[in-house]
Amino acid sequence: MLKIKNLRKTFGNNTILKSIDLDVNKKDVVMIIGPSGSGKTTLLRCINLLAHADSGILNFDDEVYELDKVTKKDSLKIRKRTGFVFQSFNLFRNKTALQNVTEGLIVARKMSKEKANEIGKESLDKVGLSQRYDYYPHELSGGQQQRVAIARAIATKPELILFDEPTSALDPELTHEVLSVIQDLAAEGMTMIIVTHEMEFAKKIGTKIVFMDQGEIIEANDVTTFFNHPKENRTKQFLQSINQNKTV
Amino acid sequence: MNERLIEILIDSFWKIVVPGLTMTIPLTIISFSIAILLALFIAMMQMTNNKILNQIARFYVWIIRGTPLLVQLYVIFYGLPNLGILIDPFPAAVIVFALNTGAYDSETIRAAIEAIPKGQLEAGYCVGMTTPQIMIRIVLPQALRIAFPSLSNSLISLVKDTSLASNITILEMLMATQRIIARTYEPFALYCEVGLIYLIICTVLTKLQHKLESTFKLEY
Repeated sequence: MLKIKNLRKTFGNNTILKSIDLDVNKKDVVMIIGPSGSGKTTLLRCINLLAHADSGILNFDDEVYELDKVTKKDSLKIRKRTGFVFQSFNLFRNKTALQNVTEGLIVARKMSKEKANEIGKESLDKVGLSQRYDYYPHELSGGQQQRVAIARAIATKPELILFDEPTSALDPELTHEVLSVIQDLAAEGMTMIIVTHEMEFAKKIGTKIVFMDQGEIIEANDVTTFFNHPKENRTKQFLQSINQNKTV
Repeated sequence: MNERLIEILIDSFWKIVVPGLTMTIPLTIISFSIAILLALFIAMMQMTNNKILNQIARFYVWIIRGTPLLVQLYVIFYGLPNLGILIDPFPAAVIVFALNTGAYDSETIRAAIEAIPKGQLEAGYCVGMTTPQIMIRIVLPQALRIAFPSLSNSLISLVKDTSLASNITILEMLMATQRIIARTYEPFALYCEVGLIYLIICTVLTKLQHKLESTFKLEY
């Protein structure tokens, strides 16, 4: 469904991403893991053009985009087919939970207000917030805010949702409620790419693990092979360091 | 206080308030409305990636903030006729007050827009909105709330600054007062009286500001 070829990204003299190739099939849940600063977030942002890659080809089904030459129109097209969930939620502060979800439907998709409200409520119900339609973001907990953000992403019926460390800004006890919403989406067959530090979560619902370090994909494999039979030394080291942390 | 003075004060009260209602307040409202639109426009110009627009906006703010308001009034009203450009007193005053207030307010609005986290802009892009749509529906409503106290300040300043328009033959409250003084020779009492009327107008505005601010707080 989504195919990335030879994606490169530099900031000044720093090479953030060196020749990334990535394949995502329908219903895949791709977990991108790796140490901080390895370019995981940047890769995600390049996919829906919040960041502009210096080169690379993006195939979205049969649409082909040269990432260094995308126009505003192309960006809009890609963004309409994808959803994005941020680490810091990024809810519209001046809109209620429901308005956050319907805003894109009404403004960008020219949907009627009634229809948008219907879909908006459906989406909020799905993430367990049927009691919070009219709450402003500041009246919600972090976990609730992130669930509104997920509702906002699914309301547009995207073919692919990108999650950028969706639980990193949350207290441990709030992490669970967000992860279980994502798990439900996986069970429904939603295609997702998730940047995460939650290894247990990655193991549990991921269909494919991508391990990145210093701007490169070191290893990409299905979950069992990745965790039980890692090929690369760098992957083994990383998995070892995680396991050590767990025993401490 | 003698009876004559009291009579003068009462008699002059309406003679000052009427030009207040017919000149000071309309002049303030018209100038301020234009100033806010201008300020938004200039703030946007300063924030685009277009170097030329940036420079134009910065140049304008630099000139206006670096020269006295009274000099600006004189240049437009008494200076421009030398170049063959004649502007009536009222439009001349509106032009100067709007340009002046707009320059200061553009900085306030720019700072307020920059205070809104960029993430909301990105979230807007992600649901398919365009930059102008996000600006109008998400960023500006929040930014204007942040800017509101400072903008109220500039409105209150403008009310008082309109007294300078008496220098370009506009019959507003100060000039009305001066005319009464010329007849009665009571400068102390009458200048105090006009000062008090300005104070009343500004008090009303301050109350209004506080009331609006507390209704904002009830929302988001």
